[in-house]
Amino acid sequence: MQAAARARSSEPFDEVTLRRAQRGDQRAWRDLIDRFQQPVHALIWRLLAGRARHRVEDLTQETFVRVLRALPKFDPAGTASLSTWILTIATRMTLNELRRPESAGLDRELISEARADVDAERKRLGEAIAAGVAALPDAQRAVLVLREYHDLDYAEIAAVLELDAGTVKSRLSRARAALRAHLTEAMPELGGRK
Amino acid sequence: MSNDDDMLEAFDLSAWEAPPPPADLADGVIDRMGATDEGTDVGLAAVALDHHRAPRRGWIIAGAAAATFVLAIGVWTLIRATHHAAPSTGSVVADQARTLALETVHANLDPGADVRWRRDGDVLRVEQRAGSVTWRVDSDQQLVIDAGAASASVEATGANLRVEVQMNATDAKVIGGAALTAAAVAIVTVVVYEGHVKVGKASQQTVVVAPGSTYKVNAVDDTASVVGAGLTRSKKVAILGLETGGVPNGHVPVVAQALSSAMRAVAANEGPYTLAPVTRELVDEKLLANCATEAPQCMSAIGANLGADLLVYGHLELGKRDYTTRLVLLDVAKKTIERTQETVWPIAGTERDMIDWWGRRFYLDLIGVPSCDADALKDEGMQQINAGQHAAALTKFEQSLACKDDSYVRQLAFMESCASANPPRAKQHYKRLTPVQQGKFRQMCIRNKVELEDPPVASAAIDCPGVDEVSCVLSNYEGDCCKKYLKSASKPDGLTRAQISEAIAKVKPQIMKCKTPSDDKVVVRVEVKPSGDVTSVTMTTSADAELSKCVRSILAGAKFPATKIGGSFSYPFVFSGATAPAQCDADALKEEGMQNINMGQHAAALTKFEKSLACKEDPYVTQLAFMEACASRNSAKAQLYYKRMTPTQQSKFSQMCERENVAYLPGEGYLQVFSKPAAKILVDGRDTGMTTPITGQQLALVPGKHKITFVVGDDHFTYPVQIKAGETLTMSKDLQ
Repeated sequence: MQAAARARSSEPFDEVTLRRAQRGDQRAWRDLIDRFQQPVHALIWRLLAGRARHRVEDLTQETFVRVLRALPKFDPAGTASLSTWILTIATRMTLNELRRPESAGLDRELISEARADVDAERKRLGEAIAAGVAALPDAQRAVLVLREYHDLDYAEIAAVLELDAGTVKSRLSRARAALRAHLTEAMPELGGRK
Repeated sequence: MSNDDDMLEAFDLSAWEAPPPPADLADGVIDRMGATDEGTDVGLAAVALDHHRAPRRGWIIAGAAAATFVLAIGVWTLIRATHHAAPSTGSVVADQARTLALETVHANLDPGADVRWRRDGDVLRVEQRAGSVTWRVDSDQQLVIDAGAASASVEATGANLRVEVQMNATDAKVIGGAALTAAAVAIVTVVVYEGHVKVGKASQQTVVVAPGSTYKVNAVDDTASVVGAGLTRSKKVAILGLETGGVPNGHVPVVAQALSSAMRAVAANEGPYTLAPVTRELVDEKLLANCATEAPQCMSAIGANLGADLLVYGHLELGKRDYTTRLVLLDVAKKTIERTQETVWPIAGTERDMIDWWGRRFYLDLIGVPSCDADALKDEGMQQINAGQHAAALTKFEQSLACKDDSYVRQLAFMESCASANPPRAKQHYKRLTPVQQGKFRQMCIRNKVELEDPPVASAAIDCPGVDEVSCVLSNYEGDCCKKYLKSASKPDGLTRAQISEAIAKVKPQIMKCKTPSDDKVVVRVEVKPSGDVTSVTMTTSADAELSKCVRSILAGAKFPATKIGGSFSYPFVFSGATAPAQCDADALKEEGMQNINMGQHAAALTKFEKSLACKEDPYVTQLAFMEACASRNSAKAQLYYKRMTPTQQSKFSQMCERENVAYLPGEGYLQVFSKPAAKILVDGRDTGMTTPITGQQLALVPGKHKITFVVGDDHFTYPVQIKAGETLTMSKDLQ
C-alpha cells in the first residue's frame, strides 16, 4: 500500500495531555480532537461512502463527544491504543448509522469536492475507487477502509468489528478482489501495472 | 500481512481523498460537552440513548423520563468511579508485619514480604517477589498474583488465601550470578481458606485449588503437588445430555445439546472435578439400563457404567415463554442425590453466547461454585455501551439479569435492545418493564425504529413462542396456543389409510399376543363412527374362536381420529401358532443388539432389535429399535418404530431423532438449497456434509423451524426456515 494513503499517524498521543484530557481539561480535549479529527472524519466519510453524507459532521462530533465522556475510563496500558479505541467508536457509530433505513440512499457525491484541482487521471481513479468501495457490502467496506486507509492490522480490525481474525481476512480478501475487479474494468490502463 | 496486501498495488488508493474535517469541529464538540454535566460520566448514557439526534438542537431536550434514567446511570457510574479511587500502582517491602488495604483487596504482609501492585480495571495485578502474604479479595474483584518471579500465577475471586514465596537456599548457592533472583525463588505455596482460586505454572495445566487445600509449586525441579486434603480434581464427573420435554419444538433438542456441551466444556476447565470423557444422553442411558424412573439406584448404575464418581443429568422443557432446566448431581458410590437445581430462563437466552453462559452457570451452581456476579456483568455492559457495542452490552445485561433480577438492569437491557435494533429482545424486555417504565422508555425504541407492537397476525407467535401448527398437531392441539389451529384444522371426510395404519399400530402389539393353537391369518372388518370410536368388528375369515374373541375385544377399544363420516376397512393379522417350534431367542438377539450399541454399531444394533421383535413383540425393544434407527439415521425405520410406540413414548423418545435431525414423522419435509458461491450447509449448527446446490429430496428435515447456515470460507450466513411435512422448500442466496 502507498504510504501516502495512510491517514493514521504512528506517533502515540502525548501521555501527559491524555491524562489532562482524562481529568476534563478543555485545552487537552482540544489537543486530542485536533490530533484525531482528520482520521475520524475521513473514516466516517469513507465508511458512509456516499450515503447519509449530511451526517458525516454530526457523526464526527458525536464520536468525539463519546470519546471525551468515556475517556476517564480509557486505560492507556490496555489492549487497544488510543487511536484504535477512538476509531472503534467512530466505526461502531457509523455502522449503526448505515443500518438505519434512511441512510440507504446514495448521495452520489463520492469524491471530495475539495480536490477539484487534481489531475484528470487521478480524479478519475478517485471516482472509480469511490464507486468500487461504495458498491461493497458495509461489512466488507469497513474492513477494507480500516486496513487500507487507517493501517489497522487484522487483530485490531477484529477487535474493532468484534469479529474473529479469520473472518477479517476473508472479508478483506473478498473486498480487495471486488475492488480490484471494479478498478481493472474502470481503469484498464492501470490494471496491469505493477 | 499477507499476499493479499499486494492485490491493489497497481492502484493508488490515496486518489480517493476524504475532505478535511470542518474547522470548527473542536468548538462544536466542546460546546456540546459544556451543554451537559462536564467532568462526569453522566453523558455516557445520554450519548448511548441519543446518538441519532441532531447534535446542536437536541442535546438537552431529552424529556423528564430520559433525564431521570440518565441521572440514574450517572449516579451509578459515579459510584463506580469513586469505588476505584485508590492509587492504581504501588510497592512495599515489609520490614515488619503490616496491612495493606487496596480497595476491596486486603493483604496482611509478614515481615520480609516484597509486593508490587497495579490496578487494571477490576483486576488487581500483584507481583509477590518474596515473603508471605495473606490475601482477602471480594467477589467483585479479581486478584492476579505473579508469585516468585513467575514461578506460579495465582488467580483469586471472592477468596481468602495465603501465598508464601520461599527462597531455596541450596539452589541459590549453586546457581548464583544474574540468574539468582529468578531461579533462587524456588518454592511457592498457596493455601486456600475459602473461595475460588486457580494456580497456574508455566509448564503445567492450571488447577483449581479447593478451600482447605495447600498447593506447592517448586520452580527448580518443575514440580507441583498437593499438600493436604482438598484438591479435588481427582473426582470424575459425567454429564449426560439433557432430556427434553414440554411444548414440542424442533429447536429444543438442539438447545439441549448445546447446553449439555456447554456444561461439559465448563466442567473440563473449571470447578473441582475432572470431566469423564463421555457424551451420552440421559434418555438413551435410561433406556439402555432399563431405568423406568430416575431413581438414584438406577442412575448410579448408569454413572458406574460410565466410570464416574458424580453424575449430572436432567431435563430441559420448553414452556410458553421460558425454558425450565432441572438438574441433578448424583453421588454414584453413595447412590444419593447431592444437589438438585431448577431454573426457569428466557427463550431469548438461547443465542449461542447465552447458551454457553447458561451452561456455565447451571453447572457451577449445581456443584456449589459461585458462577456469576450481577454487578460486575452490569459494569461490563456499561463499558460496552461506552464503546458503542450495543449488542454486546445487551448480552451482558441479560447475563446480569439472569444472575440477579434488577429493575434498573431491566431498563438497561431494554435500552440496549433498542439501540442494537433487536426487536425480539426489545419486545421481551419491554414486557418486563412496569407500565410506568414502559410509558417512559418506549421512546428509546421508537427513536431507533424498533417496533414494539406486532401486527395482530404475529401476536400469537410472541405469546406462544415455539408453538406452530406442526407442534400443535403433535400435541393434539393441547393448550390455548393451539386453539387457532384447531379451528382451522377441518375434519377430513373419512378415514385415510395413514390414520388407519397409525391407529392399528397402537393396538397391534396387544393383538399379536392373542393365543392361537396353530399358524393363523385373521382378516377383520372394522366400522368406525365419525367420533373415531369403533362401531363393530367382524371376522371375515374363519379363525379359532378364542383368537377371534381376543382380536375383537381389543379392536373394539381402538380409537381412530374423528372424521365427518367415519369409515370402514378390512385388516389382516397373521399369527404364529403356540405349537410352532421356537426359531429364535428374542432376548439373546436383544442382548446382541445392546452389544452392538456399545461398539457404536447402530445399524447392526437396529437389525438385531428387528430380529428380536420379529421373534417376540416387546415394547422395550421397539423403543430400542427406534433409538437405533435414529442413531443410524435410518428415517424409514424411525418412522416405522415411531408409529409403534405409545403417544407417551413418542413424546419421550422423539428427541433421539430430532437431535440427529432424522425425520421420524410420516410426511417429512425437504429443503432444496442454492447459493452463489457454493457453500457448505449446516442445519441447526450441525454440518450436513452437503454443499450447495442441494436438490430434490437429498436434505430431509423434521417438520418445524430450523436454522440453515451457509458457510463460505470463514463466513457464516444463517437464515431461519420453516419446514412443513410433505413439502419441499427451496431457498436461494446470493452470498457474494
